Amino acid sequence: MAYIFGGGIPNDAMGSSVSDDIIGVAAGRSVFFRIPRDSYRILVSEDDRVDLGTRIAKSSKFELSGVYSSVSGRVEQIVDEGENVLIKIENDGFDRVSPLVRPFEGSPANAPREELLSAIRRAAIACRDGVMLHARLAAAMSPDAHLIINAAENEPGLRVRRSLLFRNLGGIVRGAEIIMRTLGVERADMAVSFCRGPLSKKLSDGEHIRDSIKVHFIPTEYPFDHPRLVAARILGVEIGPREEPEQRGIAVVGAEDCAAVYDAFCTGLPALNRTVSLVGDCIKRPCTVTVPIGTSFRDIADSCGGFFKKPHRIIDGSPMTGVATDSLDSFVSPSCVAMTVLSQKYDFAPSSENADGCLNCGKCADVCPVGIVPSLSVKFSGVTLSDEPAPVPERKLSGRGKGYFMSSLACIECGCCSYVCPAEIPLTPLMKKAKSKAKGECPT
Amino acid sequence: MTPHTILSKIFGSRKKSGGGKLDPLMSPAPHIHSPEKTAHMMLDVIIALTPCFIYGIYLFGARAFVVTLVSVACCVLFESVFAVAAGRKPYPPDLSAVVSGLILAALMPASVPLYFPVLGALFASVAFKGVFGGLGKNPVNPALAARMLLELLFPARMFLYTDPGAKLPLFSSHIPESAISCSIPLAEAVSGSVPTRSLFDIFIGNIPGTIGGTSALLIIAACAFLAAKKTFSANIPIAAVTSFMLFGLVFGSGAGQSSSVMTVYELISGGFLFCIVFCATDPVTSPQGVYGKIIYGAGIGLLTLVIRRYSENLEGVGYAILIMNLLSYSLDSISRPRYFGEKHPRKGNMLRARRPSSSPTSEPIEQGKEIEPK
Repeated sequence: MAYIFGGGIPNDAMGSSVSDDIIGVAAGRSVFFRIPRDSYRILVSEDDRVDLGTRIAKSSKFELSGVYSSVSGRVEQIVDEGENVLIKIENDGFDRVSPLVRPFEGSPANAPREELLSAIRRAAIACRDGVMLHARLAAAMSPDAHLIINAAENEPGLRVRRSLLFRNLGGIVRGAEIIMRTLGVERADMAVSFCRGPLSKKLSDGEHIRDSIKVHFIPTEYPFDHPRLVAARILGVEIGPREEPEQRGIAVVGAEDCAAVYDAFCTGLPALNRTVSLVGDCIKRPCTVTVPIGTSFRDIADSCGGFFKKPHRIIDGSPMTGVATDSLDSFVSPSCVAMTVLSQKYDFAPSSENADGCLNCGKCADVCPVGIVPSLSVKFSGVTLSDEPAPVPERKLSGRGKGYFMSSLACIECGCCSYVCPAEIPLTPLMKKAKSKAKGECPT
Repeated sequence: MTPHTILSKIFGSRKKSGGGKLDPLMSPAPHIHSPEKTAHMMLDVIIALTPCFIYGIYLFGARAFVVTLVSVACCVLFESVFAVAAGRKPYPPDLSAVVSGLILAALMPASVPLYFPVLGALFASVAFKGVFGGLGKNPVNPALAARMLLELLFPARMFLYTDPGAKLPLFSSHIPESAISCSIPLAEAVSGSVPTRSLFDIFIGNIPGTIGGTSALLIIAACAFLAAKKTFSANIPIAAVTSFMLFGLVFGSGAGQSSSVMTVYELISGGFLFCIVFCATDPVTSPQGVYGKIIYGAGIGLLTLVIRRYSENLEGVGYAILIMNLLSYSLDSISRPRYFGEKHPRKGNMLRARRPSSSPTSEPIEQGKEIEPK
């Protein structure tokens, strides 16, 4: 058995009174796509007509895929942003499907694995961490591959996977079966956050889930839904900081990705919609919505009842790991999980730019799910948030200090240490810096 | 340095790509924070200490209250003055000075002259905390260190315990002969004879002693409260009590009684319980890792017994904690927990992959089995 690390924080930090419904939201007047210039070739120019599913950019790299228009209409503007290109498509509201879109021919059960993989690549499904699903599956393909369907979701505020389990369990299971065939495995494990009531019944009554998929319930503390921790709990394999689960032949695939695979095989359309949670104390009706990729946050908020407090901070992603954005003009990216809008109450400024105010209380070590002592790791690595050199001249680290410094490599950047720190030290960003420093010093 | 200047340093690079104006709302993830701050932790400790003080004031009268008041007020005052002198914020609103003052007072008998808490507060806030850079950087627990320094300077008055319920003058430093207790349970227990007070009296704290540290019952309740609130982990007190009991049996005690009974008397009659619950668990001066905490607690139990057995010092626990305080950094160094995925230096990877029973194969997909897309 794997040694199970303790820690984690309760998953109800953002309240838990959210319904499990998924609301479909139509795209607004325009949708946006931000495409990295150096890995994609843009296929449209201004004023071109595009349809639902028209490819607007393609990449020659295998690990990437195409970018597809999620509405039909006209390319209104192509803005050069330096590294990226921003494409704005005006929505005409007709949702004309591109004539090039064809459903998958034949049954996935009979198709060769390469064909299934290329069909998944055409579907352009992005996992939560930004990796494309087909690249993940290709990396995990090995004689002893193993598939884990990660339907656990413990992050405060997020309800995407729970809602999908309620509303689209059939899609998840059938998508998972296609992925199993692609990987060449006969069995899969499914991780679900521990639950009671109708969902638990649905998952264990044997009617909805095939025998080939074994359901495991995992604790509800955040971040035990992290792929590495899920793999450790289910397979008993600890994947060290220097390798990826795929290198061991373990593919941890999100439940939403399975559902997207099934949709893509049924309709032939690439993944054009994304299920995102609306989180935060400003949102009038916190819920889970399915929106076309590229829809701006403002449009989503308008269709979901707007705000009842003045939005103060807008975050692309979840409250624990999302990225703060400038305004509501941000839009749903292909790997978006949530839109978080927080009020003034959550205004939080780091108390210092290094671990100076640390009380040594060890709360960060108590909650760390991977057994790091973040405060000591940060102190020994001598990093600060600013680019200036550390105030203390760096000493050469010997044995034990180096152990703490190197342990930062295992950090999964879940944010728990920052969350609990009573001295409000920005430990997570500091750990990220320490991690990249440790990687630079020991690049294996 | 204000948060805004910090943010501008962190996100200075956003200026060129962003809207030109610095946005203080762009702090890195996570964007939510636990409501538990330093002040909350300190407030929990104050709440846990309150019953001990109420009982102490009930036992030793209004003078106990005066000593406490002087101690707390002086700690807050000296800390603020020193912080201003050192160019820091006048008084950080983290309540740590109040906790220091309360612990200092709790460790004194009510009979001390009123300049003792003033001196103690001066030692605690300046000598053992301020000069090291304030909360979080002190190597030893300030209140305990100040109290032990007072004991070194004025041993006679620091051990001048009065009987519960005896009338004490409110301000005068002259204590009437009749109030002074001559049967101190701990002294009797250490010398090997059964204390004259009953075990029940000693447990609920109806004995001569310090203001806050007489009642084992209230201290255990406070420990349970703080552990339940997760203000500290109960590892340290549990390790300390366990090691105290174990080594108590090993060391044995004086003639007459079995050593297990005497160890229980020693455990609950002195300041040991109070010190391991409120001083040893001070987050700043105790190790962070769980193994470090257990070694630290066990070390306190052992050292206390060694000091009680082999020196003239009656309590021993104060010095034991100060010694372990100084070792806590080293304990953290030698007891780094294994992190996720770390390979064991000798055994290789501690965990072997558990292969699923029906080994997945790369055989071609079976014909005939079909999944029906709908």
